Amino acid sequence: MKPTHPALESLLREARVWRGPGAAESTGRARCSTGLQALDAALPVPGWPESGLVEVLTPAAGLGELSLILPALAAITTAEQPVLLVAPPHRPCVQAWQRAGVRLAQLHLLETGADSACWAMEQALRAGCCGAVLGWLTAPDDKTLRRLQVAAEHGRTLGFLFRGASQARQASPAPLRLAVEATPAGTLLRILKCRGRNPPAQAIRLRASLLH
Amino acid sequence: MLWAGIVLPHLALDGALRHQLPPAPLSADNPAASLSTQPTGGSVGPLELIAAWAYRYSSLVSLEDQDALVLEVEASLGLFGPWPRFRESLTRDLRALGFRHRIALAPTPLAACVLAGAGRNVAITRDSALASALSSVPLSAARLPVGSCESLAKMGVHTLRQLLALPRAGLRRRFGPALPHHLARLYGECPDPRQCYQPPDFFAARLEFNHELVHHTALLFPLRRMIEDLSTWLSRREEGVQRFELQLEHANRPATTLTIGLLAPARDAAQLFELCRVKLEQTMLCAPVQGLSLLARDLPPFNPAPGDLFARACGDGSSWEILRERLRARLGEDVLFQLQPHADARPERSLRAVPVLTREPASGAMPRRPTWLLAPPVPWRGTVKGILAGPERIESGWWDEGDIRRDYYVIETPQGQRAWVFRQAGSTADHWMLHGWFA
Repeated sequence: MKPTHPALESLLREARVWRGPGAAESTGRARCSTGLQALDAALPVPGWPESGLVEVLTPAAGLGELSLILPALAAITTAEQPVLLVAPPHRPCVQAWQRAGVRLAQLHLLETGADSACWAMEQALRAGCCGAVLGWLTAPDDKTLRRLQVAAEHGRTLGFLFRGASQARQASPAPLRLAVEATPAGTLLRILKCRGRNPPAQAIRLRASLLH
Repeated sequence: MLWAGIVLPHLALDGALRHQLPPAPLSADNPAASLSTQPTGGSVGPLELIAAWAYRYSSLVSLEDQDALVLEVEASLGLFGPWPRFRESLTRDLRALGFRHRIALAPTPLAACVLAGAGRNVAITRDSALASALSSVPLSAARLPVGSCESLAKMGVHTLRQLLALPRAGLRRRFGPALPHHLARLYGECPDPRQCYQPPDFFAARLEFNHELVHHTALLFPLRRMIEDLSTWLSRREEGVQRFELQLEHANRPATTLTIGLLAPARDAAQLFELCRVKLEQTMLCAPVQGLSLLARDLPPFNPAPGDLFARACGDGSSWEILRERLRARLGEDVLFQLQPHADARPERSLRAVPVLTREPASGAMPRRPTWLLAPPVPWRGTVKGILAGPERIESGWWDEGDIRRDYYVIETPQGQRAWVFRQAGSTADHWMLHGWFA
């Protein structure tokens, strides 16, 4: 059945309502491919969304959570759009980032305290001039998350928010939530929430252990 | 060339009156409504002010004595002309500035001044008409060298026509070479090289308030006006400002100086005002403010960034440059930076933070490196499930006190993390140091 009401059509186009399994694929546009075929296939649009907040929940560092988004950063910086890292936990080793295709001239870092990090990330998302904004915020509350999501939609900017795995149970306004899970066989990626589609039950393999 | 001569007979008086006039109300409900503009440190006299004004009409502006200036207008007629309209705009501006004046147009600068000074409201565009226009001008208005006017009057010579009739050789013998040379310049018989007015290459403005201001908000209104002046001035000069100072003047203390530094030149009034406002809000006013001055010396050329016709018009619509300055103004000047690789084998020194990276650094061939680098390395107390790669020996830095001898390994932990660890070269003990994550 084809919806005829314009308001209904726009709702469906923007994937704001969940349509249940078997419904027609949403026709939204992806920003760029995630670089993982399985993830592209599992998302409502084949790749990272055009804008909005993406949460990446990780139990520990070094599980491949950055390599998940490096292809996206490479695509965005190659398109001459600035990428801002807000309060990163460590310094990026630029040689590795360069090897992944990230253009350093478009990579900006902001090292600041927790309070100003939230403010800075919101400003950067809202300004609409960045290709992507990556934030490592310590325990942002509901209100902050909602502000960030609204800012990202207002500025039509893609925001990646890295948080601890313990915050998976906290409700979040982010349209896409991914959890990185460490298993003996390697690192898995589980889609906790994605707007416009049922999150698949199956986890996606992010990185296989070389020792198993 | 055609020269407009502007004579200001009451220059000093008009200039002084300008500061006495009650200022127009700027805003009905603003406490800073009654403020007065004064030139900084008395360095700008009224004639310099007029010259700066005239510079907007012509690039050749020259001061003549203490009460007149000339500007070349033939090249500007295409923009502001024809002459009657040009003259109209000059008059209108001068009236608005509060200066009484007389204007005349002539083919030589000296003749333009003399005709204007004699009160002849004429516009002479041809050399042939110059002599007849000057003939009846009294010698007292002819700007002759000092003393010669009186001597000539005693001889019964009162007008330029009579003077011109006298043989030049005789004049030279009696009055020296200055008088014949003056006449030659007046009639365009010899060249008249002049020193042209050059506008100062810095911007300074100062406002003095009639009462003391205690709040930031009261300062914002005069500040906005100052920034707008700066922005207009910069756009006329095709320049931007990279660093400028705001001085808040207090009664019995040294002034508070706020320095606003930008990573790239800018000249947009709204952006500059926003930066000043943030800076001002962060400043504690230690005493009431009596005056505000702005000094901008660092004025590099400014090329507005070419806009993308199909650029995404979304969000606040502010560019990265504006966002960058906003973040820096609020959070500090060194919190925002970029990284560039540095040719050093030691991982600690292999990257450098720079304020702005102007071009993409070349990527060198390097062995595999982690995505995060820990600074400084920390002891690794966890277990090592297995070694994925290594050892890679890095031994360097004996010449600069940063000597290292390390064996680097890529390891995997039982949790599946990949880490970049090292131990002292040759050591087999389990004293690992964690230096990076393959995140």
